[in-house]
Amino acid sequence: MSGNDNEGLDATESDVDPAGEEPVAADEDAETTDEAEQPAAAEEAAAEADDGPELDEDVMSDEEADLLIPVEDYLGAGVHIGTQQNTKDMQRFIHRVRTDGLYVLDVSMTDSRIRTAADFLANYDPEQILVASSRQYGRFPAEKFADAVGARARTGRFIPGTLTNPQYEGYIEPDVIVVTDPIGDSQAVKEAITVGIPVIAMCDSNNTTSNVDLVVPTNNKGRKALSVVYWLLANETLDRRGAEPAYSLEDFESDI
Amino acid sequence: MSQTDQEQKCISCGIRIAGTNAASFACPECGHEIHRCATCRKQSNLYQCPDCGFTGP
Repeated sequence: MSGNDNEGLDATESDVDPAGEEPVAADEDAETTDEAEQPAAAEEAAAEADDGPELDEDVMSDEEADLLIPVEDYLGAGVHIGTQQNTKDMQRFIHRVRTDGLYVLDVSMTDSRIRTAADFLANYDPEQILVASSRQYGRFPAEKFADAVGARARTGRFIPGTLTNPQYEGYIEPDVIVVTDPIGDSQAVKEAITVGIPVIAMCDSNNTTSNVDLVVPTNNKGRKALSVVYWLLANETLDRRGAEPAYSLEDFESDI
Repeated sequence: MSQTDQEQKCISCGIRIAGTNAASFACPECGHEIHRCATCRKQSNLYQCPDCGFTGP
């Protein structure tokens, strides 16, 4: 568990770091500069992010894959950006490692798993789905997702006993739980194990998939990445139910 | 062994499921009922749907 604790600390740091998602923009510059110049290059690239950064091209194994949104949109949001750590559990979702040490997630697998998760969630009553996000950048998209599909959301600190203590006034009995980060939402995962409900988790390259029943490989630390993934998941879930998706990506993006 | 017992076997290791911490859910791809024991969930052992071949988690 000490490894997970360390990862948790890393995740927390990146959570509060406003430049946490900027490696997307730093990509091309970082690959062409030496290590001493990388931080400065990353900052410059981050400042120029709005001017249209150059994007990765090699981000998925299946180049012919039919994606939900154009691959440029995935790359622009940084959905494919992993961390500099990887775990054995997540290796099958990792496409390559960049020269700056960041692991790149396979976008086609992310896309495929979003569809699979939507299929899975469509089997459940909307009010029996619980979305948890303790991560700051995941709170707004998670609440928006819950609002869109009719699920319940528990953002911020997950009060112990929410799933296990009937005497707690906020006690609920969901049938499935979606977590933004298995490390940050470990209490939610722990209680889901206790009550025996399936866990869908958005996992980055540094996550272990212990006690997770369905992995959605994605960057779970970036604001834009989480917005895109939750938006796609909401739209696909509504589509599977036969409802008309009525939300745009902007609806899932919180103000900075 | 009854039919019920056969259905309550872990899809990864085949052990008969008893106690809590196990999970049962429909295959995300095809809806086939999948059971995972507590150990396989904790160890993140892969499972494969016998109907559609979906590999999880």
